[in-house]
Amino acid sequence: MSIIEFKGLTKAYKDIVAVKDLTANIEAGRITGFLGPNGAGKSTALKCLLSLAAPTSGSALIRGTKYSELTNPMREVGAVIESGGFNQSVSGIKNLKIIAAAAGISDSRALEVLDLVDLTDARNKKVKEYSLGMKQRLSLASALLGKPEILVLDEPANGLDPIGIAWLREFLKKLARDGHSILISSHQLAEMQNTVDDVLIVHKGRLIAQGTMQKIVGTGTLEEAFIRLVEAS
Amino acid sequence: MKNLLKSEFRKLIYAKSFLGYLSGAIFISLISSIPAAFSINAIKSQLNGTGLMDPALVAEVYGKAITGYLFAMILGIAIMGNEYQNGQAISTFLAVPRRLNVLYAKLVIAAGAGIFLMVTSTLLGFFGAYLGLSHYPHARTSPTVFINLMIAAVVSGAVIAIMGVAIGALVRNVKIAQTGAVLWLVVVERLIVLFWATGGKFLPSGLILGMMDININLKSTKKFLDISSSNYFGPGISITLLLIYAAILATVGTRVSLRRDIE
Repeated sequence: MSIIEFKGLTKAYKDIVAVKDLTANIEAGRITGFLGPNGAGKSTALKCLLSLAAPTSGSALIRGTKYSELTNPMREVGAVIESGGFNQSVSGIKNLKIIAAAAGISDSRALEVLDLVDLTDARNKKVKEYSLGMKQRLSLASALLGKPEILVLDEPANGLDPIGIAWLREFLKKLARDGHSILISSHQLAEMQNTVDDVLIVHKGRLIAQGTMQKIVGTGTLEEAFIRLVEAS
Repeated sequence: MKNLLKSEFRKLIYAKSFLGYLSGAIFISLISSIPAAFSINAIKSQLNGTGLMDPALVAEVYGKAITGYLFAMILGIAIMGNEYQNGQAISTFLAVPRRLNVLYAKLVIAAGAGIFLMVTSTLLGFFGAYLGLSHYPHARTSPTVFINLMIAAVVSGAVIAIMGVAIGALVRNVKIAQTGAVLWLVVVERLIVLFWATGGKFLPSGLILGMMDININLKSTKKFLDISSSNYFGPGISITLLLIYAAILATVGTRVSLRRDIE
C-alpha cells in the first residue's frame, strides 16, 4: 500500500525548474532512499510533500491527503528538514517543548524523545553549543515527538562523523523494525546501500530510477548503478 | 488555537530577548521623562513664560513616558522575523501547517507582549516624570493625565506590536526591518512634522500623542522649540486610525506570509 504519492509534481522558481513531473509511490513499512546529487531537487520535493513549499503543478500526498490538511500532522508524520528549525539561543529541551506545545503534545514526551536519541545529558545546553551530530539527533527527536508512523528525513546524515553515521544507521533500522515507514533523502550513496530497502533516484529534478535496492544495484554497488543511470539519462 | 498560543508564549519567554526589549523601553521612557520637566522649565522664557504652571505642558512632561513604543515595534518585528531568520518557521509550520492560525497566534501574543511592555515602561516613565516635576511645586497636573496616558500605553502597545509583526512578515531580514522601523519613527516622522506640521497628526507618533489628548500650541522664537499638538486628532479618531493602520499592515503581511515558501 502506498503511503506517500508524488503525482506529476513540478516545482519551479522563476526560470529554474527544481523538480520536474515527479511521479512515484512510497510503500508502507519500508525504508525508502530518495537519492541524488546536491541540487537534484530532493529537498524541494520533500518541502512540497510537507506543505512548506507550494507545488507549481501536480501534488505530493500522504495517505491521499495534503500534509497541510492532515488533522494531527505531527502524530502521522515526523519530519527532519536539512536546515534545522531550532532557536540556537534556546536549550534543546525548550526547543522541543515549544514544538510539543504547538502540536498539543505533553512536555514529558519531549524528555522521552531526548532519551531516545541519547541527548538527555545535553538537554539544558543551548542548541548553538551542540555539535552537528547532536543537532541532527535533536531534529530526529522533534520528528518523533508525535509518535508518528511515517518519517520523512532530509539528509539526516549530513555532516555526521563515522560514529554518528553508524548511530544513525542503527537508529533507523530500529525504527523500521518498530514498524515505521521511512523516506530518507541523501547524496551519500555508499551509506544508503546499507540502510534502505527501496530507492528513488533523481537527477536534475527528474526521477531516473525507482525500485528495490536489489533491482537497482544488481551485482555492483549503488554508486556504480547511480553513475550508470545518470549517464543514461 | 490554545496550543499555538502556549507555543508562541514559550518562544517569547524562552528567548529572553523580550527582557532586553522591555529594558530598552523602560530606559528610553526614563531618560525621556525625568529630564523633561527641567528642559521645559529651562526654555520657559522662550515659550509663553508660564512654563510648568500650564497643565498642558505638565501633561507634555508626563507624555514623554510613552516613548517606549519604539521597542514595541522592534519586539513585534522580532516575534515574526526571527521565526524565518533562525529557521524556527519550519518546525512551527510542520507542527501546525495551517499558517493562518499561526499568524493569528503571533498577532495575539505580540499584542499582549506589546501591552505589557508599554504599560510597564509607561508606568515607570510616569514615575520618572513625577520625580522631575517634584522639583517644581507650582506645576499643575490635570487629573486626566494618568488615565489618558495609560489608555495610550495599552492601545499603542498592542497596535504598534501588531504593526511590527506585519513588517516582520513583509521584510525577511530582521535587522533591516528593525533599523528601518526605528529610522522611520525617530527620524523620518520628526522630519515630516518639522516641514509639514499638519501632517503629523496622521503619523503613528502623532496618533499616540493624539490619544493622550494634550492640547498645546506654543510658538517659540526658535522654530525647533515650538510645541504644538493643537491640530492633532482626539483620542477616539487617533485610536481608530491607528487600528486601521494596523489592520491594513496585518492583512498585507498575512497574505504575503501565506504565499511564501519556507526556506
